[in-house]
Amino acid sequence: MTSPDLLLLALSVSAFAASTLAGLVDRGEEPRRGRVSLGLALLGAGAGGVWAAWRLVEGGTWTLDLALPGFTPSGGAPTALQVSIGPLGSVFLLLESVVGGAVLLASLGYLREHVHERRGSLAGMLGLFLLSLELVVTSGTVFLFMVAWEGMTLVSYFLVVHEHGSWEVRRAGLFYLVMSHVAGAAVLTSLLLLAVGTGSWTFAGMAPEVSHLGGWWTGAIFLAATLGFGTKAGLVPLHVWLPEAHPAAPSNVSALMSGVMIKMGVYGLVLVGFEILGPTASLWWGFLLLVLGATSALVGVLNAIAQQDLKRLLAFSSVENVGIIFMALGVALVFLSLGLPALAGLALLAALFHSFSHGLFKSLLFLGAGAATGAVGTRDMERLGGLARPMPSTSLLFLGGALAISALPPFNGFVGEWLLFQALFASFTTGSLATELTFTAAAGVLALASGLAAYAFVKAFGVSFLAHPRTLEAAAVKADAPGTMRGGMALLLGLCLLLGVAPFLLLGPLSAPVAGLVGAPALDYGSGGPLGELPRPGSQGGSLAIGVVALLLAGGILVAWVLRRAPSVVAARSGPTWDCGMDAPTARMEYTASGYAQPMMRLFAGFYRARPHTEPASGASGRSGVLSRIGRYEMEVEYPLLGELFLPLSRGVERLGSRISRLQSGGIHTYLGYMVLTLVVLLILLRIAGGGSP
Amino acid sequence: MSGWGEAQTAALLLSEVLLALGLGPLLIGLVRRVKSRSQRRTGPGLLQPYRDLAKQLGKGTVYSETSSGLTRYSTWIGFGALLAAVPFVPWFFLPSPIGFSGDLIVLVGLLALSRFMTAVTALDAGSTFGGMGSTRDMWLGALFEPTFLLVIFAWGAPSGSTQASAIVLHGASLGLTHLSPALLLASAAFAVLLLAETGRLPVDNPATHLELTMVHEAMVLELGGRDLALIDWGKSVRFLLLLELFVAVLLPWGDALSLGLASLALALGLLVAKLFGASLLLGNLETRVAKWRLFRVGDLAVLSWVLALGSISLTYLVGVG
Repeated sequence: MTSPDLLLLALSVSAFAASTLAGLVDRGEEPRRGRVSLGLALLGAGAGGVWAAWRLVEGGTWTLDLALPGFTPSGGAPTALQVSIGPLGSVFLLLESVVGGAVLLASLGYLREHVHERRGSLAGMLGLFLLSLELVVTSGTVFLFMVAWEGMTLVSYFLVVHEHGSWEVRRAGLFYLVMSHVAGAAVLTSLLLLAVGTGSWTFAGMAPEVSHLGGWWTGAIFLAATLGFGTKAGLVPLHVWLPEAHPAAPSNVSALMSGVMIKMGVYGLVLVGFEILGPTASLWWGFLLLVLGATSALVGVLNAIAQQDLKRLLAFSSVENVGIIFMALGVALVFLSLGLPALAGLALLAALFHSFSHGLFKSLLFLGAGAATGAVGTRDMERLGGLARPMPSTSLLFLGGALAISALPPFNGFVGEWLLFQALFASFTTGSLATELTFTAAAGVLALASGLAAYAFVKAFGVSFLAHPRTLEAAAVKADAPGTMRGGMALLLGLCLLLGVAPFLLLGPLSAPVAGLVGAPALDYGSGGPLGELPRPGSQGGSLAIGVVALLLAGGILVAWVLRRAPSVVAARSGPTWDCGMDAPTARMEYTASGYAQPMMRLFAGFYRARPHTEPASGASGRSGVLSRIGRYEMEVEYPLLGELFLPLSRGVERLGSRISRLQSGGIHTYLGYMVLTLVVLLILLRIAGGGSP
Repeated sequence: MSGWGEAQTAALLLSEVLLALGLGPLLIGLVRRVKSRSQRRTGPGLLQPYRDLAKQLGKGTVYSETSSGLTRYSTWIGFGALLAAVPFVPWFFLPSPIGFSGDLIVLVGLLALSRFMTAVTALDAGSTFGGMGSTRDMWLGALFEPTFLLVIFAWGAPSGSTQASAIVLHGASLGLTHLSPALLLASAAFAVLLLAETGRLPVDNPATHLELTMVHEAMVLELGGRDLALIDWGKSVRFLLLLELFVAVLLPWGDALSLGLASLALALGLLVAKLFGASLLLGNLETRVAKWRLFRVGDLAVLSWVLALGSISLTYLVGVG
């Protein structure tokens, strides 16, 4: 055996396949069902991770032509099957394997504690889901890619509707399925246009041919790709499936979908927009992505703030982060089309690093939310609270994830945003006023989004985990999450911290793929400076040795610790919370989730279209002492995108469908008539198109 | 780097941290003094903040029965983040000893970390006031984060760097032409941000005793003893950091570039003079304005965005050198 590639691929694929079978036929006792399947899937993820790391070390592209009976093995045929993994695919395979491994580990405990039926089939479908994700990033041909892509969609649909006893879950699943098919159609359109235009059915064969295509042709391909991959990634206004599907799915599934699957949209767009179409990029592509990304970032985070459902909040936050990633992709495309490949590399690096980071901390947050909501039995934050005492580890891990996603040092979220800020700041070297002003505005949007994200996550953590339990169910929680769940989350948080303190561990392996994508010599991010500082293109911008910053932070914390721990005359004691001299404070006096969001909802009232309804306490009987006992305050939030964009669209499709269905009379002579008519029309067309020839 | 160079770096770093810790409470005392004098009150002495800190540090702590372990640790982390931010502000010696390791964006991140920890702690005890302060403080933080980033871009564009040292050195090399309209606009935006970020009037009243109007004070209502000492001290360090950044960029002259005794003394003297001047102005401003309604502060934030964007547009229209 000359290379381990084939061995690792075979091991990973067969382990995932075996996991699927084992899960579906598992007839063990119910609480233990699915464990064998999860174990096999872990083996598959491990093999996939090793393979991805090996590919990144080795560099270059590894391909394998599959000659199955009935398929032509050559690259020129539409049905060619070819496994091909390049640097870009390796990056995303690594993300899938790392996040997948941690989520599978956590699933061992999650399945036992929080899933109550059909554990075996859930575990088996997880294995199949990971297999389809692996195939998406290793497909070398249009045919194999579309099979893997649609497989990923279908399997994730079955995962979303796992708890299909509830009407809401079925509705969310259907919604997701429909949106995914629209996305699939757009992806297929884009790839078919590419294949027809370049005459090649392999991705590797397309890239050299694109320079012959006209601007209209490449523009159409790019638009279709943005529509298709943007829907999968959750780009506004195509994100509407995301806040429906994520809360409906079991939490380990949400973790995988948000952490890995939506990144497949990013992968697809980088594949089509950079790897294949990169040399032909027009300026407007970059600005389109930048505007869409900035809109997503703001719409996502503003909606996240308003949510009361913890998992819906996390889903909207995914929309925000995908927005940030697309902003970085847009910046990279602008630089690329302006002929500044080094800066394009910086922005693309920010996009890939942030994709990776978001995969880590969002799956961590979904697992933490799953532990909390599973223990209490509701996703409504107003009914959680006080979980930090019975669940200290889960709370701490969720807090770490909240710090990371709020882009605070020393976590990985900060590094990704820092890189993007540097890329935006470098706009002054372009000399184009439009670019400079747009990028500056984008920096303002990015800063606002990260400030708002911190707001949303102080709310999410504080309301769900701190203070008094808000309900009896929350007060009844006695135990922390199972050990495997805590282990999986700790692994993810550890990686968030590691990549925050030593980002070159990931930036190094990323710099070669990025250099290949933008066609510029790689910035050396592998070694960093003597203290691990990140270099910058030219002498512009700022430098960052985040390891030193982390050391300073540790030093500062040490000083504070010494100040606080110096021997004291009086020992610490505890007492009740101050309540202005009333009875002991209760959970009803705490700030609620909606109360916490109120200042922001009031400031952005135009965005939320929030309509407050107040009912004053009725009559004197409603009052007791100084507190009014009766009285309601309700806030109604409209969700305009669904009502004003998608409902009219779907009604239009329905109306069109019912018109067309009138053609279907059912009588056989009518259909014969259609055939004759079609034949005549075709003959006439042929005559016109064929010109003089018979 | 030679051993001497490392010892020099460590000594400079230590002196900056000690300066920040030592000078912060004095400036708070000075602002209070100016306020009380211009209101025809005697007021507390200049050193009162130090006495308060000493008293709080000597006291025992009372924790709420509702609170979790978080409250026992979060104040250290918040205070530590502020200390870690010290080297990223220009003090008296340039270039900053380990300034290469981070820029002003790191400063924004560390200040935000400290804010996040305080806001989370405020929710831990389950008090209504804590929630009120927490949501308001995060609200202000989110609104002024764009201002901070835009000001960094505006200040940084002429020198092409987001590093504080580089910005100040470039400004000093320009002579009086440094005080361009673009710089003044950006600095005006930063002045608004300074009032909001450090909880001064008209955004928050640091001397208030009415819980319903509080922002910062409401957040820390449940803390006492050493935890409160760390929070108060941290607040004065945050105030000093932002004020020093403001005066250093606006008036970038006089920093020591070598380790001569005379130049160091001159630089330290100028630093204290600039800070005192700014504190006098701030104290005067605070006697002249009343606290604004919280939701009017949104207008203030938007004003600061516009000022900063205007500054950047001017820079780019004129062209970067």
